[in-house]
Amino acid sequence: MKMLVVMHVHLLSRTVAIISLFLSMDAQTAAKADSFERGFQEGVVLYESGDFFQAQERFETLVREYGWTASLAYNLGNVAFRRQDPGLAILYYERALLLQPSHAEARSNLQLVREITNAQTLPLAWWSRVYEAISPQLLVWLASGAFWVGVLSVFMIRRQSLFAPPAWVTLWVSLFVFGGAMTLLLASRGGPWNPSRAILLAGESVVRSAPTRTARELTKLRAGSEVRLKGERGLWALIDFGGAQPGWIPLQMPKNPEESNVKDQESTAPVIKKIRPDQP
Amino acid sequence: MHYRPHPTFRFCCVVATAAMLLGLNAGAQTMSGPSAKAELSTPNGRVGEPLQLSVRVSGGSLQRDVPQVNVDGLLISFTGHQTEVQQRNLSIQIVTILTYLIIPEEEGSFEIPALSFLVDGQTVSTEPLMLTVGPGRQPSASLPSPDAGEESSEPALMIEVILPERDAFYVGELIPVQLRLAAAPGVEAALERSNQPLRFVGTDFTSQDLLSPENGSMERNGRRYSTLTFQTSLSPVKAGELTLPSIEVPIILTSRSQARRRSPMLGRDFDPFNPSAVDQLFEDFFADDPFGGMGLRNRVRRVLRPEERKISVKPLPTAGRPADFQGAVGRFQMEATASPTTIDVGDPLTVVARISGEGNFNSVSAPTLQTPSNWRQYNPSSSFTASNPIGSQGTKEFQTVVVPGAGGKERMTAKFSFFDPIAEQYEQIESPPMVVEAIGQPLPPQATTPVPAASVPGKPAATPDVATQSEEELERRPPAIARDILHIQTGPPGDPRSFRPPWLTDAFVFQQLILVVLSLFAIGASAIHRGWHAPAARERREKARQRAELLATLRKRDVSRGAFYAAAATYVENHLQAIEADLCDRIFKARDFSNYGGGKGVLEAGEREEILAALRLGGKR
Repeated sequence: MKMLVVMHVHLLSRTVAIISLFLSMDAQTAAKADSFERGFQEGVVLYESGDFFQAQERFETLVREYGWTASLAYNLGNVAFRRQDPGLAILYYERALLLQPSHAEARSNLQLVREITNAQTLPLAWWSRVYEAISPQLLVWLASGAFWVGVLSVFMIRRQSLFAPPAWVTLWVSLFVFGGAMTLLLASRGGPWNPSRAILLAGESVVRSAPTRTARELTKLRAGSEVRLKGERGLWALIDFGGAQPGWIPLQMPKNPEESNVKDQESTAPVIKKIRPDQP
Repeated sequence: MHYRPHPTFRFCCVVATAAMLLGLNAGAQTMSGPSAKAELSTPNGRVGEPLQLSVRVSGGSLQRDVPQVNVDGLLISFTGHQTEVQQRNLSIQIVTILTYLIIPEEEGSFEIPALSFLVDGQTVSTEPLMLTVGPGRQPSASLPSPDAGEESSEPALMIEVILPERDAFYVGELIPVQLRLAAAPGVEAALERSNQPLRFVGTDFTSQDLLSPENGSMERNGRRYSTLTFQTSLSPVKAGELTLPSIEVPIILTSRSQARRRSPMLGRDFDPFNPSAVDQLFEDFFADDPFGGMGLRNRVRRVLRPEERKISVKPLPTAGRPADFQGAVGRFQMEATASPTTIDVGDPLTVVARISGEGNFNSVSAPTLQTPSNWRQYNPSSSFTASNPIGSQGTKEFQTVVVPGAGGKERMTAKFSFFDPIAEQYEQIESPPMVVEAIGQPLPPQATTPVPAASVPGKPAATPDVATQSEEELERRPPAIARDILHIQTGPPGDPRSFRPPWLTDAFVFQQLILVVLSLFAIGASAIHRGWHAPAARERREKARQRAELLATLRKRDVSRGAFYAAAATYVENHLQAIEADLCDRIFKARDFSNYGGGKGVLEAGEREEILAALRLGGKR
């Protein structure tokens, strides 16, 4: 009897400890969410008061502390546009759409900035246009769901249960859906998630045939132009800009255009950035 | 009978004759002995004028390397040697002729020291020679005038950079530059053949490769020169007193005096920079080798550099700079056309703007196209057609696709701004208006938030230019839509998300793992279920149940004799693989006796224990 009492008391104490732990975690999460939202609203107020520099600092701090959200990326895009940096604005709008493909405001602003700057976009394959109607997330879930429905169908067919005849139909449908979704995902190397998608940030980037400033000039690309980053060599990046051959652009440029020989990090700005950041 | 000498005798005669001849030769050589003699092509030279020193070594073979000759003020280089075998009377003599090229670098009298050679073990020396050098025509890379004794203040070979005659230039301006090499008649020089194109090298200017040169002639101070003129262009990248970038032109000079004396090209105009003429000259010179066809190649390489020169470069003025100025420097004209001029709303039309003139076309960007605000412009494409070799003149064509967003008759103009370095002021030119009629209903706008107009550096906001509109032609215009980005998000920021693809997110992976575990569980459960209901399993289970019942009966203490032996017989039949024959016989007889012989008494404990022990079931209750 005594043993039973001791055992019950022990179980009760453990249960109370676990519940309190969950409650404290929930409280911490709530406090963190409050802080995040408060910082976000501060950034909004700074933006609306016209202090775009401080607004950018605020939003970037939130990104560092809490991570990316589609709204943060969208607001950073607006700030960049107001700060007359259309290349950066396009990059942030693309990131907002990557996080939330249904973000209508980001899509609208992206289109407008591209029209204003005449920034080039790479031609999309026909299957990539599917992403405008079906988001890749949906495709992933479709493929996953079809796979498991197919597994269930095979299970029922092997069991020779009452549902075996309709299971054959389900199996074929699920195979078709799974194959289609996977083809769309793989054919365009993940579509918007293609890790080589990048945006040019410099006002006008000269694309050269070799990684040297004396190499032949292939073309000039405006800020915000979309390219594929194929690799890096030293201070140069190899990009596919839609031309007959890939070209090279410098990875960094002086913040002050009159200083042509600046090499330290603080005096230079990146020329190109990936849409999908390396640090998610 | 004909006498035929013995072969051995004939061989001895041949050897004796050869030995006699060799002995005579050796005697002749020994009598004359090895000797060396030096000789200058002329004892009087001029600074920069190549001379030839030849050394004739006879009476034996040279046994050491050719000695170097060093005399201060003279540049002496060994150019080659040739060996001859001469026969005189019955003696054979070996003669080696060594040739040096001498280019005097200073005036004065110089003594060329005696040169020693080792010939067949003996040392022979030449006599010292005296060379008197007079003043040259040019301190460096100059050659004497063909007219001996005629003094002239102009050098025989010149290199100069020719720029437009202006006091100052502007940053970004394309400056046509000529590099001219001039040579007096009789000066044999040729450009050194190289795969590397000639180019001005410097950091303050952008430059391009020199184009292929053009031959010509000029007169200076009554003297006629053959010229070779290269064209290129320079563009300063910063303001200030800048030094023109340097350039080095390597040339090959040949010995003038020999060629002049012997070349069949004497007496006619000779172009020293014509490669074929120079090659012919070399061939002529070597064919008439003054040293008996030794094949000497008296060539010397020189690098010519123009004098350092500074020019004044001004920055582009800020006063009066148009808002749409994008860096074009030069003098330009523009014309623009649109086609088709009647079009449906939403269909594309092409505006072709041609900017022609003279200047830096690299800095010429597309003109600003003034279109209605709801007409969409696309990125223009450009092409350039140069009308001169250095590309400072030509026409740059921009093609812009425009899509009308609303119907009506509209007027478009193209504007272009540039800086005129001659007039030293900014110019803004505008094309004649292009009237386009769009037919159809307006397209829905993309962004309609009425906020301040968008402003992007170098790209003015697409607002309609009222000044260019004609009241008659503009019949009806939809209300202008100020295009700007939509406002920022003010609501909750949302939950942070990862930039990982969905198939790499934690939620997706976790869900798939759960499904995998459930599937494995289902597969395992199905397998267990199938195993439980299989006939063999059922049979095993039934057999085990029967065995348990039999054992319970056998181990029961108050079991009757008949029941005990019936159970024991069944146990033996169904559950024992091997048993002793006597025991088996006893059990079955006892069962039959109990069933049919009336032996249904109580089983004694000893008998029961004995049977159980025999069946290996003893001791278990």
